[in-house]
Amino acid sequence: MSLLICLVLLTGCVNISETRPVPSDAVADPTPLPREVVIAVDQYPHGSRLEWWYHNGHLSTELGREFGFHFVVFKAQDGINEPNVVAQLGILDVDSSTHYEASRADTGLLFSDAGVLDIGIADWLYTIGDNPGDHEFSAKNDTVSLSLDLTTSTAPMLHNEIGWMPTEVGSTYYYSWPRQIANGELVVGGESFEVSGTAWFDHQWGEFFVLGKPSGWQWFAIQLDNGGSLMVTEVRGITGDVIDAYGTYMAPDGVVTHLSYGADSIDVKALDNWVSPSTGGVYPSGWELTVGSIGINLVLTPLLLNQEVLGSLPKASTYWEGKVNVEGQLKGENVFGDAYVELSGYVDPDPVIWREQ
Amino acid sequence: MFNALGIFVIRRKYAVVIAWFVIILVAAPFFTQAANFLKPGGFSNESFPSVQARKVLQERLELTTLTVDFVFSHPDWSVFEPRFTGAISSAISGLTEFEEIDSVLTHLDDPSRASALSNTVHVSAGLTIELEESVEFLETVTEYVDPGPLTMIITGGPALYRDISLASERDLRRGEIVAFPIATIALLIVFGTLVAAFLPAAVGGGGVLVGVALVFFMSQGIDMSVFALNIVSLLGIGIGIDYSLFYTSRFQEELRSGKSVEASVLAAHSEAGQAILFSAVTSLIGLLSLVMFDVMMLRSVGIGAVAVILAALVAALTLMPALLSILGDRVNRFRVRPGWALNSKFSVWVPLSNWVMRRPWFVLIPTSIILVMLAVPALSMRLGTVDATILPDSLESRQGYDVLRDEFGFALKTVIPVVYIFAEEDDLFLMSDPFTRENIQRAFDVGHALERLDGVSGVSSIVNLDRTFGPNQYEVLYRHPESITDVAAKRIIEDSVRPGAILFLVHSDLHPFWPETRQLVTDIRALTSSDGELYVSGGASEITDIINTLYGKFPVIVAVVLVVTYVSLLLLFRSVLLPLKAVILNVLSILASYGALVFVFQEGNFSGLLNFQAMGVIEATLPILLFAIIFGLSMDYEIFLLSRVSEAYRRTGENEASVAEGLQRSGLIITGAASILIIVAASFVLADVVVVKAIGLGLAIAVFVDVTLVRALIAPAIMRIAGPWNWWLPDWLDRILPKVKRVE
Repeated sequence: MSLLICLVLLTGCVNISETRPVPSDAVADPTPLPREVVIAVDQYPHGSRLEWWYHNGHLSTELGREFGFHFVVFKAQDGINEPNVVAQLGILDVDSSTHYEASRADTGLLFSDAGVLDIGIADWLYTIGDNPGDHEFSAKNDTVSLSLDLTTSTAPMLHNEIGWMPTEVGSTYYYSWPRQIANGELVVGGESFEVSGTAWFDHQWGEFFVLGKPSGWQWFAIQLDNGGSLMVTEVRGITGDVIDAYGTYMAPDGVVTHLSYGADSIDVKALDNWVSPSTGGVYPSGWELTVGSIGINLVLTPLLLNQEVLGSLPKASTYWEGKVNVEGQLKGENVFGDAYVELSGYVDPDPVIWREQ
Repeated sequence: MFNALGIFVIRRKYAVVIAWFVIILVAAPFFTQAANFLKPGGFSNESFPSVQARKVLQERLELTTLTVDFVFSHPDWSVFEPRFTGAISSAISGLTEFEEIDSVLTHLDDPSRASALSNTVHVSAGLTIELEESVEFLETVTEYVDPGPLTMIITGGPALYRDISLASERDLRRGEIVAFPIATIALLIVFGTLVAAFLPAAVGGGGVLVGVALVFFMSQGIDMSVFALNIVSLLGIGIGIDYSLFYTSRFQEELRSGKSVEASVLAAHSEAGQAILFSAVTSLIGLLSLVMFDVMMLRSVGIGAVAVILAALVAALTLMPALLSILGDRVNRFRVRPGWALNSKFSVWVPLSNWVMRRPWFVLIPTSIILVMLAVPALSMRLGTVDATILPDSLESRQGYDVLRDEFGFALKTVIPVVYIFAEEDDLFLMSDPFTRENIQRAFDVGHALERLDGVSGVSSIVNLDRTFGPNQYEVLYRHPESITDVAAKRIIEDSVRPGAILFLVHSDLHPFWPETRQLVTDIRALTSSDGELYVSGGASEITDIINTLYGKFPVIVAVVLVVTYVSLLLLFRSVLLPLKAVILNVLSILASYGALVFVFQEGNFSGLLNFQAMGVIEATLPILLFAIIFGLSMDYEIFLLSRVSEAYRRTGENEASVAEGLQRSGLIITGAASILIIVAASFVLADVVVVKAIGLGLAIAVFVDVTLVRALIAPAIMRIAGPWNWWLPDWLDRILPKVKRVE
């Protein structure tokens, strides 16, 4: 009998834990310390909560037909599940003033051999090449398709000097390849084109959140005809007020200058507004951008007002990502160029239902 | 009174048979209807902390842990293509209109529900109803959802639950079909005549039929589990056959000794009938113990088993003597076995008993060692519960489960929902906003205390979104929670926070139903906070409660059963030692069957041969069910053996000769009864459902061990060694013990 009871006690009952009070972790938030960015390593995915690889560019055919594109792969990871991966493609057909968008979503990352990383996002493929600054992607849906080879023609651009910056809710590593040479094939409206041009690449990762309206940003990736490249971001904080602006300028000779809000007199002035018929979002449209310290004053004009990305798969945030014309002055000289502008946080978010009740 | 009953039945034999015929006719329709009124499940009860936590989860966070899961796929379409998402939208449109459905989640809400590699999407419909009701609702949903061009598999709690019931029932039917002809042949061999072989089937069958009809009537007043039907049938057949076999064989024996039919019936009634009565009382004690559990499933098995044993007992004590009185010598008609085989001189039991009597130590030591060795694996028994892999993969719900496991990691890991309710929940002002600095700090403390527990791989909550964030960052983040764009974070804010309540999902790499996970549940429950209260929900929590409830009382119940059994055997045999020996040997038989269960089903030995996937654990109710059934059955055999020994001892006063005679006279009968039960039980090894396999094999092994090692070798060897001590009863005890009156 006792043997049976022992057996039952051994196997059946779990150990009773003594009660333990929940300890208070009432300490200051941990302060993240940045480490050095090593592009050859950091170009690949990280275990961070949020990460994206982003390209935009200005393409043309041999006959001079112009297109703009942006392609981005987002990776979100909660530390428990496989990462969610979402890719979006936007194409602007300048001649027909038509904007196309497509997206795919997937979970997990597919790794290949020899240091090359293939990220499969459903039937799309994004490849981070062995050589830092080299990328490939192919993305398509029923109406549009783009396959590009991208190779860099410059050194990388580390933003905020070290390629890292704190945000209001977290911190992010951030670098760019401001001029990539793009070659590939584009299909729009049933027509296929060999295309080439210049592209811009961004890579961000870290433990941070992207907040929508009233937070948000205006981001400018400008490629000047003189060979210079300029990134400027204006940031709105949780109250909706502009709390910061920063940028990086890479001169034609490759010299990189970090730009900060007050010290470098960054000023972004919206010249007009555009109201989205899809979302009701009121976006700035047309800008005058000034960076006093490097003598830049530019006017940026959208080639099409409606370059809004609805990003419906999955229920992601909506933003405006558009190709713009650039003209203005650099240290008193006339300059022209192409740019892409990103506007985030202009559409009213869905309410949290239970807070509304 | 016992004698009077025998005389009454003999005098009114035709009336008794007609009465039984009427009873069986009346009971038959209720027998067939019983299954429709029994409820599936019944493993938990309202007082369980996990059930309370489930209610808190439903009431405070409007969440449910019960879902109907759909697996949609297409051979060519990518899961995020508009035509795929359109087909899903069309298939599930209107589902939330059902009041039984709380919400529907697709891959558009949570991309991790999509597998691009296999073009598969997992859609869940959260239910507002209990599991028992959901099985019926599932049929409505199945008819409602039209997958169009997509392939659809339906799985999830209700479907698995339904299929486990259906497959178990099918298994039992199939087992019965296989077992019946073999058992009939075994009966023919034991009885030697067609007529005699028919009697146990008639009396056992009648007992089962009436017993199940009684279960039907009881199910009208109290909740009864459908599992009761399976166990009651199995037990009823086994016990009915035991009783009638013992009774009939004794009658045949008395006839052969030259007595008249009436005298033979009375003699059988006196000796066999009384042994049957005590055996039934002992079995009833064992099975009544199940009624003491606060778990509907075990309680209804206990009630059902009591009903069927009572029916079998009444049938054995009334229908059997009535039939034997009518049949008389004709019971030996249609002989299928040569007459010499009935002669004990030619039985294997004579040389066997002589051999054991000559060298009892030589028999006792090695057989005891074997018995203990068989029981040893039981010490590593890991109790748990089983998942859908106990189902055959031909069933839709199992196929869906496999897809969810292989494509989405479903059920391989554990998620334990823990609800934290602020202490000020009654204060409307204080409970209004979980995103205040103070409330975020409290939640942060709880979330990080949970993260630090052993076995936790991660925690999902509004304050566990980012490992680098502290309360200050979260406070900034939640100033405008609607502005968070992150899909996963947005979902957590929508689903896991309400005024005064925050949900933490505790993730663990442990299997949901393993003992280590129950320890984790216990550790979480041990966390206390003066600022609020934690409620631990989910499958692992419910299993913890069920096992704690079952095994919190099991040792006490075991002890009560053993003591009461000892006392009833003490009364019957007026011996201190024999009941003790009987109880210890019965426990060893049960432990041997536990050991076999662990060796085979937990560790996976012979899994190829028996066609199953190792469970890694022993289903928690199995040891208790087997204890109740095996204890009852093996006590039958013990009483039948001892009653013959005791009868011989009363007559001769010689221990050694009495033991040998008892073994010789009961050997064939016990072996016959046991063989039939082993055949019936072993036929369940052919079952598709692994738990049914395990019940069958556990029972078969226990009975086999009992009639071979225990009853044929160890018991007689001990009795031979004990000598006169077998019959020792202190005078003071003899004086106070009530006398069991014997019919002479």
